[in-house]
Amino acid sequence: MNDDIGVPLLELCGVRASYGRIEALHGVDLVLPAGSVLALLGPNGAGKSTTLKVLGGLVPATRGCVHLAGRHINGTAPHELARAGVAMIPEGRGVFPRLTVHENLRMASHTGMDTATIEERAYERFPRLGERRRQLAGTMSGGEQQMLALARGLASDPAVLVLDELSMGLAPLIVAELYELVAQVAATGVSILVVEQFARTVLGVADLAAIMVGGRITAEGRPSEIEAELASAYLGDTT
Amino acid sequence: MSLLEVSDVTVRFGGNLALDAVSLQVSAGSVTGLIGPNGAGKTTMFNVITGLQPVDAGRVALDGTDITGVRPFRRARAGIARTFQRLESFGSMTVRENILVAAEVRRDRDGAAPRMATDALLDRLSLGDVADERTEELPTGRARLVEIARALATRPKLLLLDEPASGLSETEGDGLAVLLTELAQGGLGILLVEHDVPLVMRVCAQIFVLDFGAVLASGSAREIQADRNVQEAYLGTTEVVA
Amino acid sequence: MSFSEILQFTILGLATAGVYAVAASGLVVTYQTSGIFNFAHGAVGMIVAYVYWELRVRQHLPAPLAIFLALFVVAPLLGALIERLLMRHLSGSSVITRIVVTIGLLVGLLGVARVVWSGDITPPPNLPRFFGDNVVRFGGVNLPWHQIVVLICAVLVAVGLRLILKSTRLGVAMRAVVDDRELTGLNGCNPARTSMSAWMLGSFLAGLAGILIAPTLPGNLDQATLTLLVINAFAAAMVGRLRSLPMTFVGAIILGLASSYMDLGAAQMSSSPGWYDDVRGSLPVILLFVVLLVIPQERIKVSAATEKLGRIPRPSFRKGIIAGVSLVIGVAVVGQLLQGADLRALGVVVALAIVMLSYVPLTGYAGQISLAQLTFAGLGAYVAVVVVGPEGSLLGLIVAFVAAGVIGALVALPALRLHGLYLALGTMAFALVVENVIFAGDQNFSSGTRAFGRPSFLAGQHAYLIFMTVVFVVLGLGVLALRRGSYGRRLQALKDSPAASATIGMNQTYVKLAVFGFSAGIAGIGGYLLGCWKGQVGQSDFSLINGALPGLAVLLLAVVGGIAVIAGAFVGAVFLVAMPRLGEIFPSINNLMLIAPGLVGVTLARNPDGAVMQAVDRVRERFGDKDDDTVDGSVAADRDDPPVGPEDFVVGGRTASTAELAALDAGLGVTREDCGVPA
Repeated sequence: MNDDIGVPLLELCGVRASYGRIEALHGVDLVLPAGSVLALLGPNGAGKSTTLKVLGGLVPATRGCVHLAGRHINGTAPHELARAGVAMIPEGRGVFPRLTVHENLRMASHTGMDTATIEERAYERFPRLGERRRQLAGTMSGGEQQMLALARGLASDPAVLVLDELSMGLAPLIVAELYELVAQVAATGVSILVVEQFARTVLGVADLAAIMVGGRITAEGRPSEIEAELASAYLGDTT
Repeated sequence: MSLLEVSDVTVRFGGNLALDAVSLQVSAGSVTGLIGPNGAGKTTMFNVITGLQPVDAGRVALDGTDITGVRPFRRARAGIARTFQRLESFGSMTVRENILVAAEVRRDRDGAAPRMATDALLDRLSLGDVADERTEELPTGRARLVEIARALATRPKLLLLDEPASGLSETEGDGLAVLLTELAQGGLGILLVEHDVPLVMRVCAQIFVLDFGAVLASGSAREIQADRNVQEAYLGTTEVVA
Repeated sequence: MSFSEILQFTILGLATAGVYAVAASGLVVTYQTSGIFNFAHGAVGMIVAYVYWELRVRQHLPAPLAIFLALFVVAPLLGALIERLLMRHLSGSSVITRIVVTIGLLVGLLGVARVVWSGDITPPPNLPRFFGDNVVRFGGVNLPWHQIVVLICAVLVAVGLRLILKSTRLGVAMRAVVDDRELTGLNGCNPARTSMSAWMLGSFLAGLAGILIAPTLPGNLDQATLTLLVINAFAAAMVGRLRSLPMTFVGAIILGLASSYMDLGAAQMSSSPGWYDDVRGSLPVILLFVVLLVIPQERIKVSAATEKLGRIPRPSFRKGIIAGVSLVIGVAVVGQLLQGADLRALGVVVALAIVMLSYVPLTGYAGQISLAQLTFAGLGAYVAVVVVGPEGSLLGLIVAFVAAGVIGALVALPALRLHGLYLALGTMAFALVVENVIFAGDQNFSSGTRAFGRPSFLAGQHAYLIFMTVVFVVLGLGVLALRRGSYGRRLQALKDSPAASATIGMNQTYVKLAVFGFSAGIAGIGGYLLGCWKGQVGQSDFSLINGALPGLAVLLLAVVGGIAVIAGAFVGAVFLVAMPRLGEIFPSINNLMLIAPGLVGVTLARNPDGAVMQAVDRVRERFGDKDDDTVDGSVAADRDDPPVGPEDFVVGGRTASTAELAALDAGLGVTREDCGVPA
């Protein structure tokens, strides 16, 4: 795990975003230093997913700036962002259920890498996927599907990996296992921005954390500094 | 005898168990809470109770009468009303028409004057100022109140509310809490799904916690807050080898 | 029946099946990748077949070159254009808009073909068979080489599609778009370009089917027949539930063999009974209808509407009556000024306006799509004239209303479980069966010589014109009363949210049956009036795609006028009748007028509320007038879309709260319980 906080790889300043007439982000400032893992936490509906969607190009920022390694990326189409090095795994399952494992990985080749290399790396990192190369992704277990999503995301050597609710609908044991994998990935130097419902789980692998409430960042810091505020943010007063 | 009695209901989607032998009860004259993380099966349970989702096993009874397999509109006429998490208001109609159409369907069965009932509900839920606006154009919070008014216009025995507080301001949220309490005092049975846990703790006499389609815990607000399993379901475990 | 005959008809059947399979797989590929069911698929095939004929026969190019140009240049280009100019703009639009835009394309392409090729060629030209009439002897029977070519092509398409979809990067991307369009973009693949490729492929397959089948048809390059061949493709594709290509091929084989064996049966009988020929002629439609009714339909869906809801005006009775009286006076005055063909055309406008009015409650208010309204009009006319006789009587109007209404409700009964596209296809199948069996079954009706009389006091042209206009106004006020009343609210509720209407206790079965019956009844009156106006009508007046006033164009222009607007019905009828009439009067714009209905149809992608609403908006913008009674937020919304403020975003005097955003987030990333579907 990195203790040194590097130069900003991804930077959001004053980002606002709306769905129709209703604004969901009211000026989000967030910095992801290169080589670090940042956990974005907060209660349901705080705007975490929207923030990630802005990064993935799925929702445009109406104000503010989004920079990737110093370049303006707001307004760029999702497929161009993916080629520019933002690998996003959306909420739910980040795989094509009616495509095989092999075909899912082949889709990643649209970012520029050739399929053979992608597969080689994916199976090296996640040997279980190699055993299921011809299987339809939708017939695998939830945990395996997320593994495949991670493999797909990592295939293109992304600058940043953006994970939205990796744990959605998975049993706690599987979630723990997945985050072990995330920690391994982080150890290889990939920068990661992660949104997660299970806050305590993700704080175990994060270098930095931010709490988001009501479309704004309300707290930032090291995981140890953030953890105390969590229970009340989620469950109300638990005394 | 409970107003609503759900016994051992199981629903499968493909291989997934969305609900796994879930039982719960709602009493007349009180608010019952149904909470749990995203994807726990809360909305599926609502669809089961209102008949939009057939069950693979188990039964649903209202007032002691088995209604499993009864068509949705007949259940509504038997006294079950609901709101929807993802809004299902009649978007191209005005707020007044949304309530009126429900009151008129009700009139088919008794003589109550629908227009008067509609005006009373507009007043009660403070929707008078937007009564003639197209519902689609309302902010989410107000649109949720329209759905509650529409549900009440059917004069139900059992009211199912799916995240009614999401989108409400703090004052509106307080107003909702008062409304729910009053409605319950008037004899209505209410089943409340809500992410605003403090609100649930405030108004519910009995709370059921769903996780992975099964009842994880049930009891009073205090019992639920103290439950370690519940905390884990919401926050995750700390035992991660990093 | 000898073995060799069975063998021969089996092979012929398989060849026919091959063509259907080729066409149907093109339909499935485009539907799956773009969500748009292309009613113009057959029309695309027709155009490509004509291009091939032009190059091969007229320009005397060698066959391989002509094939290459037609199938590998023109067809994909046409597909790419259709995607880029029309279909790309349809994301987020309602099912009815999607359907009507492709119907507009169908009508437009037919117009193009008439302009480019029909002017100087009647009867339709002949596309030669491959290898002429040469045959090969096989198992004791003679098989035309052409059919062998067809079989080989079908096999190549099956193998080729499988290879493309399974083994090429583009094919995998197409399947990926089907699975999850958004995720495709996140993988670095441009979904819009993938969809365009799918349309190019679909267009190629339509063209190939057109070239293969035209030489084997009785009418050869008859434009309407080729366009309607799409019904066979619909039926085959529906067996695969618009999803599975292998099942689509199975459907095509069932259809091809069944019709071939029925041909064999007919050849065995010295004279086959009438019903046998009816069934034989309508086999694809019957299969389509049966499959639609058999395939499992989804239950009432709980899903937030993502499509934009249309506007439904709600004028006051005062305004309705003023407008009605003005219309009667206007028609009377204009009628005095016109004579001959122009006067006849004006009467047709009024009668058709009544048929189009039937769309207002059914589709405009209740959101039920029917392609059979002109068919109900024909049925009303037919039953009424049979019952009251050719002398004519006002009783005929009542008979037409009741007969069409009862039939409408009966059609609605099996159609109750169909929604959206499936309902449109089901009513289309019904329309075609009625056309082929009932309308064609009566000798006078099929030849268009069934005589319709008028009561003596309405014998004069002008008197009858005014009478029809009064009927339109009365029915229009009836629809307005419906709109303003309790039942109208129920229709609208049903359209906006089926799930919520069930949970407030509405009996949807009853509401749907009633609206189908009522609107079919209105159409029936329109049909009977049309008959009495023209004196003689028949099959070609009530046909879905052939004939002077095709039923598809009736839906198209009803939507153009404004499907939920009473005045829109009249405006639509004016368009429908005036366009060809203008072309007759001014031959220089005749060509334009043939394409015009299609052109206005395809513009709907941008203006789904119709011409009348658009005009009203313009007037209001200019004069600031606002009809108090009209529920219309979107005009206001366009104007005062709130600017994003420097500080908090304020909605209704308050800040969007955390919980509100939860709903928003949920709206984008569907959680597994939202739809009752596992993730």
